Amino acid sequence: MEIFFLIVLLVLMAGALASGFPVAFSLPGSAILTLLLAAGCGYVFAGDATAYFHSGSAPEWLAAGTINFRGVYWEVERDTLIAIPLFVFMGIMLQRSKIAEDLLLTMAQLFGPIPGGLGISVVFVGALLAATTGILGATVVAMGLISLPAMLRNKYSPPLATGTIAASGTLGQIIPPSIVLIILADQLSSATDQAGTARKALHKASTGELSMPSEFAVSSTSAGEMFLGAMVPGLVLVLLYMAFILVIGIIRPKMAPSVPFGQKMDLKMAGRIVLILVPPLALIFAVLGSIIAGIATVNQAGAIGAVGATIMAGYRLQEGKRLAMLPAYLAIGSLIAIFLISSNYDINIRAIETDEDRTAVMLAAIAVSIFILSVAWSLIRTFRIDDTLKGVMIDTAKTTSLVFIILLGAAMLTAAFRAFGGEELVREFLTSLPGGFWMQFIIVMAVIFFLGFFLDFIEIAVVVVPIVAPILLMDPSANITAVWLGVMIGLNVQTSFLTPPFGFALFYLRGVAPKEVRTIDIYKGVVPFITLQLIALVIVGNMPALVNYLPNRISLTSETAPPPVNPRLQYCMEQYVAGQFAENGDTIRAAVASARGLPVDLLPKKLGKELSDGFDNAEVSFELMTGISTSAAAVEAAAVAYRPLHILVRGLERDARKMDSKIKDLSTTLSRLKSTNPDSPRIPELEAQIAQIMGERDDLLAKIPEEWAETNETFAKLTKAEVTARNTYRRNSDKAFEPVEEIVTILVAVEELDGLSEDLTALRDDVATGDPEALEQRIKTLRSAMKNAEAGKDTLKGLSDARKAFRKDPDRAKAAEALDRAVAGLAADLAWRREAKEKLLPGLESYRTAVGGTIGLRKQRVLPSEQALYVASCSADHRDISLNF
Amino acid sequence: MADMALPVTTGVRLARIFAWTMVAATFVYLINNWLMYWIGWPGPKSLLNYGFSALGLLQAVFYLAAVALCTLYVIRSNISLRADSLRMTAITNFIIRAAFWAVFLIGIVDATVSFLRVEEMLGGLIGEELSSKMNFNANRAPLVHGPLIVLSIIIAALTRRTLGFHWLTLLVVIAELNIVLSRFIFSYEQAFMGDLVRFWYGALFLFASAFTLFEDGHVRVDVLYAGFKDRARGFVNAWGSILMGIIFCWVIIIMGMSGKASLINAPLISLEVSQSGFGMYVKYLMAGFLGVFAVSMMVQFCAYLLESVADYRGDPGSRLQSNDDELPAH
Repeated sequence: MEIFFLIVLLVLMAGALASGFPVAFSLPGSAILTLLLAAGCGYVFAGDATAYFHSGSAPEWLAAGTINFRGVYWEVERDTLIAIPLFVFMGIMLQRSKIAEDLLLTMAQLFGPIPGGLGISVVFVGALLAATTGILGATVVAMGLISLPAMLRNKYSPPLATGTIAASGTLGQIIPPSIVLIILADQLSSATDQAGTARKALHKASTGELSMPSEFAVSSTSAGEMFLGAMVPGLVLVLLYMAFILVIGIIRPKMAPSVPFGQKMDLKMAGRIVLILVPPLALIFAVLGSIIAGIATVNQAGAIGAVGATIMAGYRLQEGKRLAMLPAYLAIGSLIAIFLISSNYDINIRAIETDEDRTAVMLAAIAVSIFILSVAWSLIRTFRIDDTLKGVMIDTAKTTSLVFIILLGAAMLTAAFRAFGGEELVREFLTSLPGGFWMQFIIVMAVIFFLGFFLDFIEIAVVVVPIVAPILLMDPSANITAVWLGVMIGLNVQTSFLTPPFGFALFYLRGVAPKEVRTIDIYKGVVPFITLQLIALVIVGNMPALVNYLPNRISLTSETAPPPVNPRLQYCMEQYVAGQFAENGDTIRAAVASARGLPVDLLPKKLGKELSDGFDNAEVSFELMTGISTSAAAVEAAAVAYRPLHILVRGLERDARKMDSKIKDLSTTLSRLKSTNPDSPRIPELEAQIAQIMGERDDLLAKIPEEWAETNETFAKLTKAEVTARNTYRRNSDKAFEPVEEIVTILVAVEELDGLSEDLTALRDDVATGDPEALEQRIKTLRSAMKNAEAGKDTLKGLSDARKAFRKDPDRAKAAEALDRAVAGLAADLAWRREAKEKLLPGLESYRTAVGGTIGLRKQRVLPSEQALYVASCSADHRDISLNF
Repeated sequence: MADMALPVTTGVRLARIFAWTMVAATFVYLINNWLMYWIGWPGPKSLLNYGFSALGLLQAVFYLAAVALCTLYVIRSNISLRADSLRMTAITNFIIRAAFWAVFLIGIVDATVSFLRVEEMLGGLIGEELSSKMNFNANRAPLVHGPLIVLSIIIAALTRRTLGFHWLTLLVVIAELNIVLSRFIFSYEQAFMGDLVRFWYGALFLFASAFTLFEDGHVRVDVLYAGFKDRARGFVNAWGSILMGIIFCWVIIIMGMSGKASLINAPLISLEVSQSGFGMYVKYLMAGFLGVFAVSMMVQFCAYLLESVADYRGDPGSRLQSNDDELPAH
């Protein structure tokens, strides 16, 4: 019966949507109606309100849906969504103040003389405008209103003109900072959690191990990463569009004639062009740049964008009047001042200690006040002139609200879909398809493409993504990243919006195009762009690195980069090191050999032994690396024969598990029935059913080929050997490099330690006479300073003993004895350290540099840039890890 | 306009009675909820579960009285559907205006109090005793938030002209800019600053929804709808309001307030605050946002129902046609 109510749900939803009632309420409304209907029918026909649910009851699912409503703004984890009103504010401000329009017209003038120049500038501005609004309808309408008349006036062929506008309008979906990317990131991050759990369960079921190595985890995403991932594909599309129009302009000048530059180019004109072009471009770069550089979060960048747009609107609205530019100049001036101050001083308002700090904070405060003044001034202008601010605020509030209420409504729909087992049904359908991941992927993409005819991107992101994304992300054979999936969905929906006869963009364009442009022209015009889109889709599909590289690179080179010991990085790091060994092995070996000649005996015995053992380890690491390659090659060779068998058996086991859970459900029902109603005729029925499924399951398991157990064991041994080889290498290289780091740190700190020795002697002199409390304090300070300067064990122990002696009843004799030990220890330390610093340190440091990027890579604080770039590109490709499951 | 109006039928009366009853029942539910979980009355359901009690009966009678009063009002006052609809919209506007002023004032005052508390300047300004009281929401809620809410209601009653909520967009921008400036320039960031952004942003999209509905700004799939005549549109919107909208609002209200541990009641009763020690003390109010949303949408959907019935009948004054030239806002 669940299936029946699932169909009721879908029919109700489709009917409600088709009737034209607002989406935001049709989704939850049909979900609620179906839940109530199922509960009612269950109560009437089966005597149990939960009878027709896959699990749970109507109140439970309604409560779950309502909790989801609140979840949108209740938890800190979903803070990224705050960026939406901020970016919408920025986009609407740019449009309402006519900055966007100016940009389009000026670009068109500037590039008019090149073949197809007008079209190219439409694409360029479309991409840029899109980047500031990210709302499909708004961009298409704005561009249709402004640029279509200009293109037609200049004798562009109507199909080309409309095609260009529709296609560049849809760019907004994919070019950051688009709000749909933010929503996708939000939805994908919870999908990633689900996929991760499912993958762990699969790992446990197939290997029997309790925990899954974290390098196999599903990689998550954030809005910032989503922006980065979409950047390259977006630019590729823009370039493809531009190239297409340029080619048309050259081959068929009639379709895209060049437009002579209307006005005389003088200094005033040039100044105007600069004033119109530079600020919006600079704003976009500031917003995206601060996200890319990892300086600001997406929300903070959104606030920067909103304020920047306001300042620009402030002078644009005042254009031609007195002091028009003053607030903008004030803002720029104060920002430069702030930049200068903060690059010269370390401003921290909580740690004002010196007069210099105070001056810096004062200066910064003045600059910030000027900045705020300029923002306020601009706001007042937008408030006064044409009621711009009010219009922007109301439009922003409405747009934000419509986006978020859909988000709320979809949460209820997802709850109802789960209530009737829809999620499981979809999973079963997808996983039972032949052809593995790619078949699933293509089906999902086709469904999304189809839905794109009727639903906007936001609806698709909130309704379809939560259901299908976990299934796709979980698959270990494709092991795709969430960012790539998001970008592929984005590209796909974008194409769908362009496709006649239903494409959204076409509707919007039809609405604003003049009557003489025939609808068929619009349809004809988008065909080449759809082709380009599909090409882009195929390119990105085949080269995931286009999407994954940039986010990887930024995350590995940022300040918050994961440390090189992070398990997820090891695979690629080892590839890098293996490459280096093959290429520069001799140089590295020579470095180890020459390090052996260093005067290790200058060091204390234990350290010296560690260091020379470390050299041994360094030498062994070449061999161990070969071990990794050999074992990996062995795994790869065996995988050829093993893979088909693995797929077959895991498939059978998966089906058997499904039957197991069905048997379990039936057995529970049976035992409940037996205790409540032992005479029920259902009991023998159920028993027969269970026996039948058990038989089916046994048949299924019997299909597992006999050689499986053995093959699997052999293969498991090989993989185990590879894992062992890798772990051995890692431990070995840690041992090889740790002593080097330790000794270098000690030796570098010699001067500092030397500087402290006078304090120690002074302390020793005062110990007999000084005030015990003050002495204890001095010892404490000195000890921590000594510790920072890598003082030896004896010194530190002496100091802490001395301190202990002063704790309760001061025992000066004991303290003096302890301090003597400390003095002696320090003298001894300093003696060997001074010498070692002179004779050992230079050699050791050059050794450290020579092997730090390979053998010592794991022990670096962050990955050095060369290695980081290698790892970024290596891990940008999806790696098949299915044989580990 | 009135002389052109179509004759009043029983259907119209029923629609008006239904809509006003829904509105009244919502408010009775809210009052009963307050009586039950804050004052300790037994509630109307107790009659069924625990037998007779005078107070429980009184609470049940409230609902009957609401129905009776609504019926009486509809029969006595013979105003048009559209005028009635505007009366309901005025109620929504009042709720939203009061709610806006409340989040605006509470946001500023509570953020200030939180800031002063983090910086240990609060004691100097208002005295140590009062200052240490501010560490507990059991004191801060009645001393700070309560009076501000009362003030907001007074302001909302006195200023009729503006809805106010759209200013929240600017407030969100300013609050986030505040984080940017203080974090990047003065290396200063505190939990209450992020809380302030979240407080205003949650209010923004929930409070703006009713107005968006009034302005027909919620996205529709208009493949068919765009070709509909007024009558068909009125039909869709009227039944949609009942089957999708009003039910949706009831689910939020009932799921949120049907018990002490419910979604909206629980945080309000316990005066929940966020985990971060030095944040704002307003998390419990954010649970209330959902209630404000549900109630304002309920009233607005009832208004929309009446307006759609008028559209369906072809009463003069339709706003549908005029909206045809404008483009949907998405």
